[in-house]
Amino acid sequence: MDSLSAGIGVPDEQRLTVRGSHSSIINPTHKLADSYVFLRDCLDTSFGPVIAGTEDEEIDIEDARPEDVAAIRELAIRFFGEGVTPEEVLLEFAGEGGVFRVVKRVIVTDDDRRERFSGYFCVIPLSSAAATSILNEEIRGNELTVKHMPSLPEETAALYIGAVAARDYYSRAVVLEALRLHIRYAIALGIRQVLTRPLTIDGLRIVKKHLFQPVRQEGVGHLYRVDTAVRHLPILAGC
Amino acid sequence: MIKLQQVTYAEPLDIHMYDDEPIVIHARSGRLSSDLVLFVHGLTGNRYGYWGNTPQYLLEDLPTADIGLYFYRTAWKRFGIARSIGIEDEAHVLASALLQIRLYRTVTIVGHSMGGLLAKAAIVDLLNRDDRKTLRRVGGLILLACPQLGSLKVPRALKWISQDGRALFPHNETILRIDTLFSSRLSIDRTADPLDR
Repeated sequence: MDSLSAGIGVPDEQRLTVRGSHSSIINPTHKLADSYVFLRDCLDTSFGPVIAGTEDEEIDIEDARPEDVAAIRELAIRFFGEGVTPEEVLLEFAGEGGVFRVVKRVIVTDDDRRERFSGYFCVIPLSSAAATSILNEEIRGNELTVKHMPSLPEETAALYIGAVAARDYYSRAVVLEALRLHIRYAIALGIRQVLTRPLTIDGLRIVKKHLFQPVRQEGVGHLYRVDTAVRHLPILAGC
Repeated sequence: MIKLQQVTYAEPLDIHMYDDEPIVIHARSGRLSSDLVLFVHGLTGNRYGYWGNTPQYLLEDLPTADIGLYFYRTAWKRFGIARSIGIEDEAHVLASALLQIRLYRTVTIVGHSMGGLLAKAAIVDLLNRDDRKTLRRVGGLILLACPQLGSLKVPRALKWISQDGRALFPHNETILRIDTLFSSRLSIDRTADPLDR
């Protein structure tokens, strides 16, 4: 057994090992500390999904603000590992508007307003050269910067779905629906190609569900593409 | 049990002010919460000053929950025959305190270190009482660095001089009994995935 026998009997998906001492894990210095975020997520799971829990609660989907970037990156690292896009690049994307969309639970009372970041998605418009570089696998998604975006929206050659992540089931459903609407809107404006590289099994499942095709190889970590001119795409259902 | 209505989380100036109460609840004034998060400290712990900013953060972040802080005497605070009781007796006290909490839809217990063992023992105590009503209200148990089968880090000599040392000794009879009853009569909800992996 480990010296504290702490993990015995606890399934992997309900366990988190954090760096720190026996007492530091209960003394978070900020709200993004791993131990605190995990505790809060456990409590959310324990209470069950908050579905518009009170009359004062709303779900907001909005462009990410610079102050959201730290929370976005922290969530991205938890999902995708340390190799995610650097913070300064994320700040540039957040400054562009429309690239990062965040989901927040907002509670407003007479004397208080509290926001809680629940998830986000990242869809980067690509210039023609950048789309070609991605398709030729000369660059990967985490190397994209604002320089790879077209100077004018109408020059967008493709969209690249950089990330989709949410803290809980309910937020994930909201994030996915917001992403679907975002892409439908882009398709209506004439975007003909959407690219992505799923980094998790769950991401791969969603990619396949929406009929993305592998550019070369199948599986997690490989590039996928969908041609939006194809009829009966699940993403266009209801159009 | 005492409930403090506060605009923001604040600890009393005298942190031992409520030491005779097993549970102190901090609630946000003007809000009726449906859930309670109950913290159970570990060896040598106190109600206040033990959990850092955690209670304050949670009271700010959780829209439907109040924060409860359980206190019991451990280690040197138990010196003196009258104060020295075993973990199962202490668990009986915690279980009885849980029984008193009726105004919340769910109570989620957060136990750190020996506090986690105590929480498990309290749930076993409720199982032994067949108190299903109280058990149904326990929405979850979160264990933080809890020595579920004892700790190799606790000096062995402590086993002979302290009830807590006995409770924390690896594979001791008491925690094996608690763990066996706990795992044989309860099953983990494997669909609950806080990391959403």
